[in-house]
This record gives sequence, C-alpha cells and structure tokens, in this order.
Amino acid sequence: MKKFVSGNIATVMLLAASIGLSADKEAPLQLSAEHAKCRDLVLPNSSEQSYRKIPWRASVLHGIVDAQKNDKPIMFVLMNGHPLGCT
Amino acid sequence: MFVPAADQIERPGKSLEVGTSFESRFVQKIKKQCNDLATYQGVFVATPSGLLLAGSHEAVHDPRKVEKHMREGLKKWAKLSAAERLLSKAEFAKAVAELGVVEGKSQYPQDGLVLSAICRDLPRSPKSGTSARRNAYNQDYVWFRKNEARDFLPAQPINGAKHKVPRNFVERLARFHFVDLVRGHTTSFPQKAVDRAELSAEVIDVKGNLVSLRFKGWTRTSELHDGVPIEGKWNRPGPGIPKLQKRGVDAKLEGQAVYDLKAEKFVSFDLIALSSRWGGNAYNGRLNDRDFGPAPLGIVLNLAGNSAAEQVPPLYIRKYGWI
Repeated sequence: MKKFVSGNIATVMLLAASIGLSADKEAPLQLSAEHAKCRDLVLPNSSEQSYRKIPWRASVLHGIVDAQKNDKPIMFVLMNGHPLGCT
Repeated sequence: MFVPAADQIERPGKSLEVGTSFESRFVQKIKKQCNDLATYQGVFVATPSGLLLAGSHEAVHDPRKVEKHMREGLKKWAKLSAAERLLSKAEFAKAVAELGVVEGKSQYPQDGLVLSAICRDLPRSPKSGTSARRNAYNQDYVWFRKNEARDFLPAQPINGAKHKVPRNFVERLARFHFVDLVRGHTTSFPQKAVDRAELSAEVIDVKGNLVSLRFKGWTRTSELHDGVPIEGKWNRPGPGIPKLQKRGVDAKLEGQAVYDLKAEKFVSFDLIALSSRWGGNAYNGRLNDRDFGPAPLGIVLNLAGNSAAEQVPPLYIRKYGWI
C-alpha cells in the first residue's frame, strides 16, 4: 500500500523538503538461503524509501506548531491508518 | 516552503474527528472548507490559522494533483498578511500546551526496542500478477519496553547459551505484527487464534559488552469466523467467495541481533518471518482479487531509527495492554 500512498506523495514532497534520516545499525547476517532471499525481496529499495527523507511531523498538531514558528504553510496528509506507519 | 505533516484520523487517546481539542477543531475546519465529504482523508495545504489554501480528499494517490495543490497553496500564502495566516499569541499558546500534553502521554519506548516491520507479498510464480500492486508493501512498528527487550537474551549471556523468548512477546508478534497488511488494514488475531508462538535465542558470540544472538522460531495463527458480523468478517457473500472462510498466518522465523550489555539496548536486530497467509477481506485488498491464498508473505523486522516519523505507534497499540 505504501507504494501507492506515501511513495507517490514523496515524489512531489521531495521538491520541498530537506533531508533528515538516521541509519539502521546492521550486523552481518547468517541466514538460511530462503530467509535471506525473503529479506532481500521484502525490504524496500531506496526509491521506495525516498519519502522517508522528508522531515515529516507525525501529527497535524506538531505541524501546526512548527508552521507557526517558521511562518510557513503546513502541508498535511491524513489517512485512515498513519501514512508514516501502517496505512 | 512547507512544514510537512502526516497523521492518521483516529489515534489512541485522541480522535481528530471528535472536535474536542485544538488539533481536531483545526482538522474539522479544514474539512469544512474543502468539500466536506464524509472522509477526512486527503492532502491539504493550510495556514497555521486554519485557512485552507488548497487540497482535496482525492489527491492522495496522484503526485501531480498533490504538486498542483502545493503550488496553488504557495501562491495563496504569498498574498496573505501575517494576521490572516498565523495564529494569535493566545491560540498558539493553546496549541503548544496541547502538544506538550500529547507528547507527555506518549508510550514510545525511548530506551526500549523499536522495530520497523515491513510486509510484502513474495513471488508465487514468474507470472504471478503484473499490476503495480504486486510490489506493494506496508510499514508498521513493533514496540518492546526496556525490560522486555532484555528478556530476548539469556540472563547469563555466555557463548552457546540458549533461551526461550517469553511467549507473550512472541504472541505480540504473531497477533499484531504477523498479519496480512500488505495492501491495507485487517484485524489483529485474538489470543485464542494463536496455535504456536515459539522463538529461541542462542548466544553465538560475546565480545566485550556485545552479545550476538541467533533467533529461530515458528508462529502460527488460525481463525475461523462463523458468520458473526464483526469487523474483519471474512465470509462477505458474493460469487467466488466462500461462505465460511478461514484466515491465518504460518511464519517460520530466523534472525540475528546484537545486544549491548553496557548500553542496555539492541544495536542491531533482524528477524525475518517467511510466511504463508490465507484469508482476506474488503479492507486488506484481497477481496477484489479473490486472493485468499494460501500465498507467500514476507515480513522483516529490524531496528527503527528515532526520527519523529519512526515514532509512530504500532497499528494495534491499543491491544498491547499499555494504554
């Protein structure tokens, strides 16, 4: 579902946002071949994760407060299910 | 240019629809200025004072429409005076106070274990589907508190030590996170639907404060609805839809993690659920395609970051028993 919702919006939003991401700490994995393949197939690629580069506020309220502080408009996405979580 | 925000309409302890908070009144005001459809879903550009500049309930899936709204919003914004676009000092103080209260109530386990959970359909055959939806995935978060995280490894973490992860933690995974959310929402599994919930941890290396673990396990949930009209009812009548339909997830688990004894936290964590899922409903996108499985499903858990966007609560947080 993310592919349709957040990913598409991100394509546009990236025009207007700066970058702020933290990286996962990865350890070398020793998995069975089938689990390793599953992991590779499931984890999103960088293109699918591009919307994560946007410095989202995770609530409308947080957005309003920061918009007022910065004298900027707020652009917000509302969904059933959190657009940054399970939607 | 903008302050970007994303939110869900109904959240634990606070619903945007209710209208009893500054935030919900703001959202209701925006909705009324749009076209006041039944839904609150959509993409909107607004002033902090609550003036809708652009937006719609339909634009969510169309980046070009979103771009159009953003450009339109910026044009209108440029023409507004400060008094028109911003909150009064008194109103802003209310918003800041409310944000403080909301953040104070957060259940986010800052010093615990926060995992990202990604689910996606796995290939069934070289010809298994050609639509863009084939590659759809969904994202959720899994939370464990600090004391719970420590229980993922043996009390005495020496090389070769084996440990059974407490069943209630594994049940949390099986009931709330090993579910078919790939194309939308479904309901979690009740405890009685858990047939198996096993996860063992083995210490495979110890280097100073760092304990490396290998995980292996198996969960299985299965549930049969008998026609009772509840959310997530599987047996919606129609051609090709079984009157009684089972649903479930059978997940073989493997993973690895590193725990820092001094910092008292995981510094890496990977758990892969190679699964078979069956069943489906109108909300999780399986009904339209009559795609009731059994079909392969992959779920990968790994450490989440700590940005605001990664502190979104788990979908079924209300069922964790924390709130």
